[in-house]
Amino acid sequence: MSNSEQTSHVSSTTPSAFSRVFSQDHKVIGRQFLWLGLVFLAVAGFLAMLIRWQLAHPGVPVPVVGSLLFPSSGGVVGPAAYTVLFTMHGTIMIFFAITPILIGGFGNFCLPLLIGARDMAFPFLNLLSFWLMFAATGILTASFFAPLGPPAAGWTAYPTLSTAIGAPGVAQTLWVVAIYLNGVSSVLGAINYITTVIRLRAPGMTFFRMPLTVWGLWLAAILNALFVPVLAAGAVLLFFDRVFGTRFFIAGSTIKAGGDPILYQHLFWIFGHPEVYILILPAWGIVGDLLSFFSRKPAYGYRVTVWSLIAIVVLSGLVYGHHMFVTGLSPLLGESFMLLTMIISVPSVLLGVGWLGTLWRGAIRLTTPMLFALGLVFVFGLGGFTGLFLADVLSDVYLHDTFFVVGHFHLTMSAAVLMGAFAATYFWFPKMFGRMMNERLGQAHFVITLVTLVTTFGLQLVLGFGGMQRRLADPSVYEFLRPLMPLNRWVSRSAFIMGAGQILFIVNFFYSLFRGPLASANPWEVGTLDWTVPSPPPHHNFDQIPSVFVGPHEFGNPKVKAALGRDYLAQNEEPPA
Amino acid sequence: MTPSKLATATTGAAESAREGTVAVGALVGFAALAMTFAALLLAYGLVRIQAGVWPPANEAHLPMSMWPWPVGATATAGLGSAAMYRATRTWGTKRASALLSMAGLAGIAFVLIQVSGARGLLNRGIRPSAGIATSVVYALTAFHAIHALAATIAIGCLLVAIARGRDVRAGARNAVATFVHLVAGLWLILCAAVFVL
Repeated sequence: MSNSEQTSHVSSTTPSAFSRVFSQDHKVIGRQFLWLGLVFLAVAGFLAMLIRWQLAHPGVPVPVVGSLLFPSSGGVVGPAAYTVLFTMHGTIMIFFAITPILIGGFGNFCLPLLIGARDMAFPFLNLLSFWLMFAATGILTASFFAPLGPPAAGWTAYPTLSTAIGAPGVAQTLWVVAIYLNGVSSVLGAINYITTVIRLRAPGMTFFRMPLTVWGLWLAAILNALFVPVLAAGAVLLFFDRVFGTRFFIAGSTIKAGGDPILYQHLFWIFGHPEVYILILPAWGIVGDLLSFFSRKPAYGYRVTVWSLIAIVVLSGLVYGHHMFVTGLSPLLGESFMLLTMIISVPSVLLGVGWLGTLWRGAIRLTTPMLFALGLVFVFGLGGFTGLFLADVLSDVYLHDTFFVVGHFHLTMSAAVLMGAFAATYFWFPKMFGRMMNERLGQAHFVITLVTLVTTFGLQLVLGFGGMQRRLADPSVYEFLRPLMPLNRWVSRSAFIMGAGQILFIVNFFYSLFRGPLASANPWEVGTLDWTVPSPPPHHNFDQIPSVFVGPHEFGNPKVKAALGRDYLAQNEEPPA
Repeated sequence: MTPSKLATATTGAAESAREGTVAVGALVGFAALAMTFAALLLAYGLVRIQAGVWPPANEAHLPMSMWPWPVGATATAGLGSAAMYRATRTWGTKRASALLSMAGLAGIAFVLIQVSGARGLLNRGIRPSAGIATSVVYALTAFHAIHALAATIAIGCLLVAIARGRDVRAGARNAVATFVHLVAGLWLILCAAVFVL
C-alpha cells in the first residue's frame, strides 16, 4: 500500500465550470457515469416497451408515439423496425446503461471512499474513460439516423447478419466502432480499479477487511481487463470485414476461400459469458454488504463469500461454450462445457448461503436499499435456477433461441442487476448528493418493480417452454404459437406496469435531489469508510488518510455497545478493549 | 533528521510509490493489450485449423519477392526495442537521448515498412478480399502497426519532454519502454505466425 503519493491529486482551488465538466475527481466522474447510464436506461427501457407492444398487438399502431416513430408503416412497428428495437435495446442496456451505472457510476464514486483513498490511481485515465464512453454513446446514437437504417443484427451482432452482406450501410459499422470505444473505456476503468485497490488502500485495509462491494468491483475489473479485449478483437475483425473487405466471418465457397461466421461466436462468447459476471459481480458485492448493514450482523461467511466470488470469476472464463451447444460443437466439448457450467452452481450456492446466513436472526431494518437487496437475492435465485436448464446440453437444444433464454438472462442480467443498481442508488444517494430519498416512494417503487420483474420475465420462461422463439416480430403468424398470444399480452401488460412504475423512481430521484431532507454523514449507521466523511464528501475525501482497524461489518459487539452506545464500529475506530 | 532532509525523504518515498503504482497500472494495461492480440491469434488459429492446408487450396501464396517486408519490419522492431532498452539503462545522459531518437526512428521505419508492404500486396493485385489468408495478413499487420505507431508517439512524447528540460518520471519512461518491448515482442509472434509458419 502506498499512501505517500496520495497528496498529488488534491486541489484546494475552486474549480471552474470547464474543470467541473472535465473533472478528474472520481466523485464527479462517478456522477457523470450515473447520469449517462440513467439516461440510456430510460432509452433502452422505452425500446423495451415498443418491443412488448409489438409482441402483444402485432400489426396494431403504437399509441401516441407510433406515427412519429414509424411514419412509413402508419405507426405499426413491423418486422424490420422490430429487429432494430431488440438490437438497440440489448446493446444499450448491456453496454451503455448497466455498465455505466454500476461499474462506472457507483464504482467510481464509492471505490476510493471505501478503501480510504483520495482518488483513483490514475485520475486522468478516469476522465478519459468517461469521455470515451460518452463518445461511444454519441456514435451509437448517430447509428439510429444512418442511411439504410439503424443496426439490426442483434446485440450479439452475429455474422453474417452483421457483415456488409447482411447489414449494408454505415449503421452497423458505427455500432462496431461504438462497441470498440466502449471496450476501451471499460479497460481504462479496469486499469484504474485494479491498480487503485492494489496500491491505494488505507493502512490496515487488508484484502480481507475490504467491503464486499470493493471485492465485487475489483473482480469485475479483472474480468473487464482480460475479456473485453477479446470482444475488441472480434470487433476489429468485423470492422475489417465491413470496411476493407476481409473475409474472416464470411464463409468460403468452392471458388473462393473464406472464413467462418462461427468464429465470431467464439470470440463473442469468450467475452460474453464473463460479461454476465462483469455486470452482476458489483451487484453481488453491494448486496453482500447491504444485507449485513441492514441485518445489523456481520456478513455470514465473509471469507467463503469472497472465495466463492473468486471461484466464479475463474470459472466464468471457462464456460463460454454453453452458448454454442447448437453450433455443431464437438459432443466432447459440449459435455465439458456443460460440466464446467454446472460447477459454477457450487460457488453460486455458497454465495446464497452466505446471504441467507447473514439474514438469519438479524435485526432486520426493511429500508428501501435493503428491500432491493432482498429482491436481488430472490430474482437472482430464480434466474440462476433456470440457468441450469440452459447449461444442460439436452434441455438447451430444445430451449435454445426461445423466450426461455430471454426470461433467464433477463432475470439474472436485467432483474438482478437492476435490483442491485436500485439498491445502490437508494443507499448511496445521500452520500452522492447530500440528501435522503423518500422511503415511502422507494418502498412503493420496490413492490411494483419486484412483482412486475418476476411476472414479466417469469412468464417469458413459460412462453419459451411453450416453444416461442425469440427475435420473432409476430408470433401470431405461426399457428402453434397462437395459443400463446394471451400470455404474450399478459407479459406486455406486466412490462408496461413496470415501465410506469419507474415514474415513482424518477419523481423520487429528482424531488429528493432538490427537496429531500439533508443527509447526515452516516444516516444508515454503518461502519465502512465512505460513511465516516461528510455527505457529500469533500474534494479530497479524507482530511487524513484513515487507519483501518476492523472489517466492514462490525455489528452487534456488546463491548462497542457499552463503550460507544451504538451497535456498529467504524472501520477507522479501534475496538474497545 | 532535519526538516529539509525529511521533505526530501518524503518526496522520494512518494516518487517511489508513484512509480510502483504506474508499474501496476501498466502491467494491467499491457495484459489487456496482450489479450487482444491473443484473441486475434486464436481467431487466426481457428481459421487455419479449419482450412487444413495453408493458404487454402484456392488461394495464392504470398509472393516470395515480398520477403523484405517481414525481414525489414522484424529488424526495425528489434532495433527499436534494443535502442529503447539501452536508453532506459543510460537515462539522464546525452547518449540516452540519441538512443531514444533511434528508437523513435525505428518506430517510424517500422510503420512505413508495414504501409509499403500492404501497398506492395495491393500493387500485385492481392486485395484484402482475395481470401482468408490475405485477410489475416492485412488485418493483423495493420492492427499491430497502429500499436507500433502509438509506441512511436509515446517515444516522441518522451523526446519532447527531454527537449523541454522536463523531468520524466521513472514510472512513465518504464511504462513506455515496456510498451515498446511488448509491441516488438508481439510483432515477432505475429511475424512467425503469419509469414513463417
